[in-house]
Amino acid sequence: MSHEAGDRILGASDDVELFAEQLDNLRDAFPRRINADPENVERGLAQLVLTLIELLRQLMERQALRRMEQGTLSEEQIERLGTTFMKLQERMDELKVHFELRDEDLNLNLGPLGDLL
Amino acid sequence: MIHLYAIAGDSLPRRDGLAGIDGAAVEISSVDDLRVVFSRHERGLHVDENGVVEHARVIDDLTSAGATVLPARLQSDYADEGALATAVRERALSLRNALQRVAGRVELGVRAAERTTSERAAGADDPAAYMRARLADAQRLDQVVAAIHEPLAALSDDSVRHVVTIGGFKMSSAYLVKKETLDDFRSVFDTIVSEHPDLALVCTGPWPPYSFVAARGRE
Repeated sequence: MSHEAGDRILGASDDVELFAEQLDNLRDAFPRRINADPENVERGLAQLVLTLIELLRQLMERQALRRMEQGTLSEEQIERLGTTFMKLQERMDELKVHFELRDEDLNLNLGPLGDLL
Repeated sequence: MIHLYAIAGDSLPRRDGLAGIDGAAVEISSVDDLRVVFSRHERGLHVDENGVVEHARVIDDLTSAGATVLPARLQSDYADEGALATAVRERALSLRNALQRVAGRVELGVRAAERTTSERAAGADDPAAYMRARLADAQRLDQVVAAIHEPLAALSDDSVRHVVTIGGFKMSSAYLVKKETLDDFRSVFDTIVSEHPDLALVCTGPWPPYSFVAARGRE
C-alpha cells in the first residue's frame, strides 16, 4: 500500500506555501533538455560564479562574526570588515539584478550532501 | 543494467508483481544474509521526476509491508547482478549495522522557514553597526534553530539538519524515530509550531530512513 503525499503531513503551521515554492525549485533540478542559447549559457555561468562568491562571502562573514563574538577583533578591524562586507553585498546585489538572479538561485543542490549554502 | 532500490535483511517478505522504474519488474535476490531489491534495464537509466516517484514507491511498498530496508540512492546502477553482489559484499558489515540501527524506526522530516525575509542588517551607512547587526541576526537564528531542533532531536535516535540563511532563513532536518515515539514527536512539534508564529513549519513522515543509511555520529 502506498501513501498519498497529503497523508505524510504530520503537522504544520497555517501557512506552508513557502515549502511549495521550494518544491518548484526542486523540479528545476531535473534538466529536461540542453539549452544552448548563448544568453542562458552566460546567465548559467554567472550563476555559478556568483554562487561560489556567495559561498566565500558567507564563510568569511561567519569567521568574522565568530571572532567578534570571541572579542578578538578591535573596533578598527570590525569597521574595516564591515566596509568590506557591505561593499561586497552591494556589488552582489547589483550583479544579481543584472543577471536576473534571485537569492535562491545562488545555491547548488549537491544531492546527498544537501545544498551548498 | 541493474537498478537497485533497497537492501534489506533476510526477513524481507515476498512482494510479487511489484513494478519499478519504467514499469520494470522488481526482483529480490540474496547476497549472503542480505536481500537486494532491484530491476533490470536494457541500458543506463536517465531518471526523471517520474523515475524519482517510481523509485520511492518501491521503497514505500517494502516499508508498508513492515520490512526494514536501507533505501538505495537514486542513481545506484550496476552492470549486472555480479557487480551488485560484489558491491554489497564489500559493505556487508556496515549494511548489517545500518539495518540494525534503523530497525523499528522511521524517518520524520521537519522544514522551517521565516514567513518574511528578515531585513538586511541595519545601519547601512555604518560598517561597525552593520557587523553588529549581522552578529545579532546570526545569534538570533542560532537560537531559533536550537529551539526547533533540540527538543525533536532529544526524542530521536539520530538526526541531521541543514540550515540555509541566504534569501531568508530555511531549515530542513530529519529525525530517526522509534515507531512508538511518533505521537510524542508530533506533540512536541505542535508545541514548537505554537511557540513560533513567525515561522512556517511542516513535519512530514513517516518515511523510509533515507537520511540514515550511512553511519554517522549523532549531531
